[in-house]
Amino acid sequence: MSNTEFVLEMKNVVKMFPGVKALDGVNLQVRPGKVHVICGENGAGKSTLMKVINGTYVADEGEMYYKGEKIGAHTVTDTLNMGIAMIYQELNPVLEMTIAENVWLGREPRKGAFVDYAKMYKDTQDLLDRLEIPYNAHQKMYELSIAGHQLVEITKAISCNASVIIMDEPSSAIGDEEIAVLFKQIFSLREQGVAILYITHKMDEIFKIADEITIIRDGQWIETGPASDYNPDKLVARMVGREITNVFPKDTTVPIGDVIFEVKDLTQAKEDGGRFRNISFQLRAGEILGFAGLVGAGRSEVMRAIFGLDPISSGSIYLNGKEIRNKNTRDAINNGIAMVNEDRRQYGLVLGRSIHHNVSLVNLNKYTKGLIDDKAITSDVEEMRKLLQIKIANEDVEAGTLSGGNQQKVVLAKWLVGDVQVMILDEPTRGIDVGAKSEIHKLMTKFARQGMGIIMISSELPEVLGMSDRVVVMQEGIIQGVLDRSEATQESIMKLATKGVAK
Amino acid sequence: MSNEKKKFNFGQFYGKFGILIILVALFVISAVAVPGFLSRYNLTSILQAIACTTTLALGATFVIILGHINIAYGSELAFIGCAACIVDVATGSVLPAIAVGLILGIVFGALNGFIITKFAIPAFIMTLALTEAARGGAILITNGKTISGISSGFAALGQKSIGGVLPISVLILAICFVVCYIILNKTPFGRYIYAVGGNSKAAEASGINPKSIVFKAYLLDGVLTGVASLLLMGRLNSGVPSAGLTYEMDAITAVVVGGTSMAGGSGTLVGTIFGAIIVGIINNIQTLLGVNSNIQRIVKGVIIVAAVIIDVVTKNSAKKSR
Repeated sequence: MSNTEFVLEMKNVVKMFPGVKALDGVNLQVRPGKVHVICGENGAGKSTLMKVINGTYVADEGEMYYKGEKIGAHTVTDTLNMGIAMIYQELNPVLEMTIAENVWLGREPRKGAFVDYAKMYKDTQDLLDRLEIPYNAHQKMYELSIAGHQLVEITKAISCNASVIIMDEPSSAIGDEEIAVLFKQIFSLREQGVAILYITHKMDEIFKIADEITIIRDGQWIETGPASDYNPDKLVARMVGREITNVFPKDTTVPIGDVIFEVKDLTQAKEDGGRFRNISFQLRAGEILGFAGLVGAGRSEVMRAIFGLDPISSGSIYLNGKEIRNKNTRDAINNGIAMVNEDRRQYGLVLGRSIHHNVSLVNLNKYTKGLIDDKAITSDVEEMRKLLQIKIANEDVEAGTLSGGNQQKVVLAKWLVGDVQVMILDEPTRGIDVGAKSEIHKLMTKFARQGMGIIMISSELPEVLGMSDRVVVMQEGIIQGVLDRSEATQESIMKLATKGVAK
Repeated sequence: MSNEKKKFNFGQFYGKFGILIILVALFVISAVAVPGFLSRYNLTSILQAIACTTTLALGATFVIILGHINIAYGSELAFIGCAACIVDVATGSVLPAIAVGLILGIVFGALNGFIITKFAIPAFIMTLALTEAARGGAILITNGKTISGISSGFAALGQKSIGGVLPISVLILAICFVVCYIILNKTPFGRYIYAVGGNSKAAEASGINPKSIVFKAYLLDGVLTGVASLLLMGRLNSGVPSAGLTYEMDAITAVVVGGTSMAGGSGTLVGTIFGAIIVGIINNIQTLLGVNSNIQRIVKGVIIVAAVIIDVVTKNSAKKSR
């Protein structure tokens, strides 16, 4: 028997992957009715630990206790039945099915041999109402946003009577408003005695919701303590094992030059998607122009359209005073525009291909004189590896095997081997650990100093405030205001982002 | 760069050398156990027998790496081959026949590529439709009769050997292979094939037009189908409207046995050639041993499934080791 003060307890967990010790003696004690945040850099072993708990992985050593009882080998189904539910970082709802069908997928209530749909919809609706989630159980999943999918996942967890709910970076793909809804749910679950295991990279979140904090570093348990014992600086220092003095290495001495890029009255009509209208802004050489706003404000859509991925209905784009038209991405690239997409895995990399192939993909023509000169590519890759400090064994490694931070650097390298005047970065540090984040910020400053104009979309206000020379704030497809660095604060941005759009 | 000591991993090892090992093992076993296998005549005839389907398999490799498919090869062969034979008989010369064969191949390739990319129709459906249509067309233009009396030049494509050693059909296959190999591995178009097949969205975001790549791949596939049609009819010494049945299966089998994933994004032409030779040897030794032809088809079915199972299992084990 173990201490019943804890609903879940892990002792000395060791998990080996061939060649790597992913977890090396990790301890975890989770109290009921508390939010327990697991902190650590990417690759520290947070997700691995969660997967050991829920049965996706089998630990090589260590013990697990649930409600005081020792749990032996277990599968995902076992843990779910016991009352441990996991909400994954990347959700995979069945979009064509309804909310109720998703909640009860694989364990539908039955009446004889048939699914008891009446009960299924009624139970789901009752749950949604109880959780104050404003959806109808008959709604199809594709009608909901990613945040909506998460709420459905929470509903599913509750429907299993879960007493421990694991959430792996649930806020990484949703905006501030949705995060508020998520937190409300978490707080009400906590009141009902449910233990929440929460993984996140966002500092402000940790201090908003954490009751207790466990820090792991390089697969090793470092410490556990009440959240009140920590502040952001201390936490980061414990996570990385070193002090990070300047989280945002903004260099205000970078000279800001002439306007190199301008957008006038860009509009996407209804039939083309209708995601934005009357967008006008200027970008100067050496400038970092932040784009802030709630998720769904249309920031990414504007940039996708400028880059030739989505259609533009009217308006014009100027580069160095000359009007350009980007009918497709190739036009945009030839005009010196680069875009690092928010979804690295979908739009950034061909995961199954090597670094060599990914880095050269955009500028293959540059390397081709009759046939492709692979030696020239190799030497450029090596140069990029040094410049961006990409940690790779060699250039033949598949891109999909790298950590988030290294993947993002490979994406940057892909653009930097060519000539870029305007670099569009959409959520450049999403899902990247603290150390790599600050490296990417330093690189941005470096590019700006070389005279590049940088557009940075970010949903993390500290990042927007830390890095931008000016901040464009969007809401529901229009620009609500542009703030200078001196006037930009969390409050002034949020005020514009939630201002209310005159229609 | 780090100097991590690499642990032996069967999955990764197999991924690199597996096909070659199987090919060598099969060859050695056949040489020892099957009488007549090692004769020069037999070895040449194996290559001659696979020349047509392997030419198809080269094109199929491009299409399958893109995550697409073409199941119409058999009917395309019949239509293109018969049309070429008609022209050959009418003009008494093989050159116009070759021209017609290649042009019709391009036309079929363009048709596949255009409809698949323009209307976003699944490649399976489009080429299924073409299977029916092209076979009907072949019977229509020949009135259902075999076109005989083709020129000696045409017949040479499928039957003659240079210096009695190197069959012309095998030489043509070798040339096609070299050209395809360079295209796939040393040109931007080839790299784009892998990128679009691996992740079409990322390819588009990297300045590649996925539709144009798919279209061009079907064009190339069409040219190779045209070449294969000429090899087939030359070997049959006539234009046979019912020829080429199930050839698409042989071509796709060679590609799959050669390690190309049907999911797209990975695969090699060298693998395809090895796959084709493996299938060719297995067919050949069964014939030499007098195995019933229907049993041969069963064996072929088993090989396809076994190859894919090995592929999936080894890929998983290669992934786990990371």
